[in-house]
Amino acid sequence: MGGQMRHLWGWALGLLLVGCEVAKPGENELACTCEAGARPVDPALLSFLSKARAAHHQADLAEAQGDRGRAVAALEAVVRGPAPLRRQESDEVLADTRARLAGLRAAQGQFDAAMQDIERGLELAREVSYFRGHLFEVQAVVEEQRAASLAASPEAAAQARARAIRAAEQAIEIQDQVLREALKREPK
Amino acid sequence: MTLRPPDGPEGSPDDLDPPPSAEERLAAEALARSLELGSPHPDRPLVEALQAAYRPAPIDPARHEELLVQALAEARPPGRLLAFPQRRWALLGAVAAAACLLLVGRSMRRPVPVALAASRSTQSLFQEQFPRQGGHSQRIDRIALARSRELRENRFAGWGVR
Repeated sequence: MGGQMRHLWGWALGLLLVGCEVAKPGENELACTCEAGARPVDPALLSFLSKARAAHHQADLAEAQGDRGRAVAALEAVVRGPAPLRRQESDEVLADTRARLAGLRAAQGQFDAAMQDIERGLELAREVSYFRGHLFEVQAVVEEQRAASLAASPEAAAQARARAIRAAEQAIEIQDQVLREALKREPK
Repeated sequence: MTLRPPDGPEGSPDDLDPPPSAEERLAAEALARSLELGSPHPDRPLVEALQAAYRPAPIDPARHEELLVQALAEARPPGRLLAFPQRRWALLGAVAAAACLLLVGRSMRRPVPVALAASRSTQSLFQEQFPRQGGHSQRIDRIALARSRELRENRFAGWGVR
């Protein structure tokens, strides 16, 4: 009987604690007065940005020592690791990281892998932005380097140059749009 | 009643009391009879108290049981502030309060609208075109610093500090 009573008291106290917790307004109860669908800047986003920042600086140090492989490994940890979903910041940072990876791979003669990075980056930066324009710009550089490496096959080199020119044109077009939008917002 | 020291025979040189009078002898005999027969006597309680102090007789088992039952009935077990029926009502009250908090508290819980910095494009952080090569670390530095400031502001807003 005593044991049962103690059991019941335990349940009652547990329920009370849960009830108090439910009734208490917490930090998660805050409603963002931002645009529909937008989420507030939160620790998950910051931890991703912090990780990406550290990885880029790690890549700087590796590049300064001429170790492109280590720089690539540092940046791959960012693009392969977890990232908060549906956040423009993380998409843009991932796209920019892809652009850097593409440049590093192209410098190592890995042009196809570099193009894969560009394509994945473009999937993340779909809207007109510096980031999307920059990816086309890097694509132009990658194709230009590929063309230079294809001296033995003039036809393939010409195709790579043509792709480089198209990518450069797209980059210019996108950056023009970005500039026009930015200038519209500037005070007259 | 006159008392004399327990050691030393009556009438010995150490006995400072005078010999008992006839009246005292009669009183002593009456007391002795009362003690033997269990009949009432004015001095009997005093004699029983002296006997109990000097050589107590074993307590009557029935009396012992009676005293124990009485003492236990008056005693309260440690930590038990309420009797069983009261405990049952208190338990019922606690369960009801918990249920109220769960049901009413949830419906009363309303999100507090607060202007928080929202996740958005970082485009506005860059007024200049990106360099053709490099500059990635400077860009992520700028993004991370800007958003960490905003996260701090969001935290303060959540705590009601502006």
